[in-house]
Amino acid sequence: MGLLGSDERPRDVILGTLDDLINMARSRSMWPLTFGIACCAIEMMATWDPKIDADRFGMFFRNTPRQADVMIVSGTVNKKLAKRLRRLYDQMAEPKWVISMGACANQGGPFRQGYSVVEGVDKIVPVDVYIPGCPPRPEALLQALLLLRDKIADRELRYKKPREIPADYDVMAEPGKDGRLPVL
Amino acid sequence: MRPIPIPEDRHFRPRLIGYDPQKSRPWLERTVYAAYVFVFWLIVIATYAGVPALFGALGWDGGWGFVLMRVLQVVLLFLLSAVIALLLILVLRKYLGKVQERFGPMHYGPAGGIQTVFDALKLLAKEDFVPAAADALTFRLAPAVTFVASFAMFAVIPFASGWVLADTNVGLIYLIAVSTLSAYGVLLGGVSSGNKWALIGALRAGAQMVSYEIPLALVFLTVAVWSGTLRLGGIVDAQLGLWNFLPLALPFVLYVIASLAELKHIPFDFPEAESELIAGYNVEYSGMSFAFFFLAEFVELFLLPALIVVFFFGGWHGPLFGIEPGSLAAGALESLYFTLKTAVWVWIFLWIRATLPRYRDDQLMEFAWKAMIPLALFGLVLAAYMRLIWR
Amino acid sequence: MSLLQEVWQAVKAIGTGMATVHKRVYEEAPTEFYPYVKPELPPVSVQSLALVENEDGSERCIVCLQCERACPAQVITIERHRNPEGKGFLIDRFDIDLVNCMYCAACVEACPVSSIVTIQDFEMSTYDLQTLKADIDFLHEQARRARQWYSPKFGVELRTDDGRIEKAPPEMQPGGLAEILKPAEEVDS
Ligand code: SF4
Ligand code: SF4
Ligand code: SF4
Repeated sequence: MGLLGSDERPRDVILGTLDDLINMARSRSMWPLTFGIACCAIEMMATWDPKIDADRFGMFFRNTPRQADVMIVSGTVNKKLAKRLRRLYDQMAEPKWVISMGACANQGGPFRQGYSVVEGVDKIVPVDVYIPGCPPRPEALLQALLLLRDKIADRELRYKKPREIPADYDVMAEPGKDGRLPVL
Repeated sequence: MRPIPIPEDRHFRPRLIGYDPQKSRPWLERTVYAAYVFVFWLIVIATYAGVPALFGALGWDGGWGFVLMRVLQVVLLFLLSAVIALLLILVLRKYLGKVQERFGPMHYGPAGGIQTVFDALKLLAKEDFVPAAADALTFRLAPAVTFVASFAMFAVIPFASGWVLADTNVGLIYLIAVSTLSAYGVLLGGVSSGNKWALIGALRAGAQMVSYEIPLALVFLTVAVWSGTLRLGGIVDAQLGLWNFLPLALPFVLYVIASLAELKHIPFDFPEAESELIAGYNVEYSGMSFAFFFLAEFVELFLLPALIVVFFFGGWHGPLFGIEPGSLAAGALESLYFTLKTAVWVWIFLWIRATLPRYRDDQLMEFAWKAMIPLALFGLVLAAYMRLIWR
Repeated sequence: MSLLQEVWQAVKAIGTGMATVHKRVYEEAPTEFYPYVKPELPPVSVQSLALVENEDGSERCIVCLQCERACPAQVITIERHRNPEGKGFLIDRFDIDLVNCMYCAACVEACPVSSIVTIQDFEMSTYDLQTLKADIDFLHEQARRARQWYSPKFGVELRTDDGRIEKAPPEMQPGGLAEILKPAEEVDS
């Protein structure tokens, strides 16, 4: 990650300024991934409606993970989905961020003792901002996006290694003979 | 990472940065667009009048000096295409926002004016990813091919009388050749990605662009027959009395439709149909490679309306207010007319994009082969007869 | 002839569509500019929970554990001990796990003294989930910061500028919800 990922923010005038500029650009141009899971996704869509209009802050949905910067985990993540969610996260190009939206994504919420529910999406991917609520208001999602903006603008990037996915998170897609996951 | 201090009351509030108009300010928006257009105009003047004048004054207008001058002009044109992309993406987002009764980008920069600059910087610093299943060389090459194919059209676009890089007498043939090339970039990009969506998108793009090349080329021929020249400057000069869109109404309509398809623009955006194909041929592209596809798309969104203006709306013609033709001031004024006419056509294209839904794929091909090509042939024959009778 | 008619209809349809779209450009957008302007939420909207104290600063909650029992997500944890002098109980611990809470307000309905109430503080997004594990101090703090709150028993209550708590005027009260709740209480009793 070199220049942009060092632990200490470089104090060098030129590099420091460049770093600030790039962080500024990154923080002001966050494109979320079109990825809705459950009921919270309805509020996620409402955030781009005329009333809230997150596009005012330069955010709009990209359909492919390669071009997206932010993944909004909006809903209940069950163990079958976990692998796919992680795969989408891995497909996103660095730098990438995750917002966990709603009680379910935060810690399982009302379903947290269920046999099939992942209790917190931060068990699978590193989460930057959490939103409580069931579902959160669209304003709350916009607040979380802006908190993420402030976080990106303030702090240097560091690669956060996501956790290993526990073995009991059922995987329907087994690697084929060539060792690759089948195309889902 | 520095630890985030938890505030006393445990509430994190977002910072209230950014421009805060709390209402739309149309005059500010228009000022921002005008500023972009002004920069565009300045670059055009510098490219076509400033650089040759500079080299002429230095006495370097022969041999290697001439090559250096051309290189400098091409660099300036690259800058121009960057300005075009920044402006058009901003206008597109704000216009689509307006149509949907919301504001587009509006808090970063006056009226959201530097939003696209931030986007470009971010894409510059984003990871450029080559998937394992992709053919790395072709995958890397494809955005460059697409962009160069679009960018090469600049060579023959006359911004004002004599303001053209290569005023060749085979300008139309060159345009047909070069605009077909951009289908290659899209096709290569999709096929080399190793992704089924990209493959389907690329095949659609190939079929669509090849099919619509034919009516496009037939319309080019019609214009050539009517004007009696293949030189773009000559075509503009031939329209001094009457702009071509009146006598050539049918080819004009066909040209607008075919260039919408050539642009991969709604209602013909099959190659990247987002609800069907995720993002189509560029689904595996990230960072700067994706930015080049984007850049190519928006440069074409400028160039095809510019060609409409050249072929049908009298190019740079406009009232000169007694300024002597051929002088710098006249050139500047003519290029301004050209820019404004093109801007109107870009706006119409965006308007169409905001209105129409997407066709079905088979309807698209049917339309090209069963309606557009016969009509274009008919228009060609008609134009030839009219030319015989009236000129 | 019919082909020409079809073409004409298509052209007309596209023209009408484009005219409609163009008219939309001039319409006022209903955007509410959230981070710069806080939206005015209706007083009954359940955005967060708080624990109200009496005007003199004493605890309103009588630690009856009704809310803990009512909570479907089981996120309320209360520990209590008997009051050594006088009757009733005193609070040892009153935690609400606002991370897993699903803001259903079942606890608010169950509370006999309307100590636990719903407030409209929706700005709870955080970098760290620990800030959402609410203890009694945080719940009191939330109630002190709130200007108005709601419970089915007392309706909307206001905190006046001099610190008193009073019932909001009838025009601020939610008619609909109170009416819906009334028969339910009658059935219960
Ligand atoms: S938090 Fe609530 S609204 Fe969101 S997904 Fe879970 S159950 Fe649905
Ligand atoms: S609102 Fe519902 S989930 Fe939350 S604490 Fe009260 S009863 Fe439990
Ligand atoms: S908040 Fe209300 S229901 Fe809960 S223990 Fe206190 S008095 Fe009982």
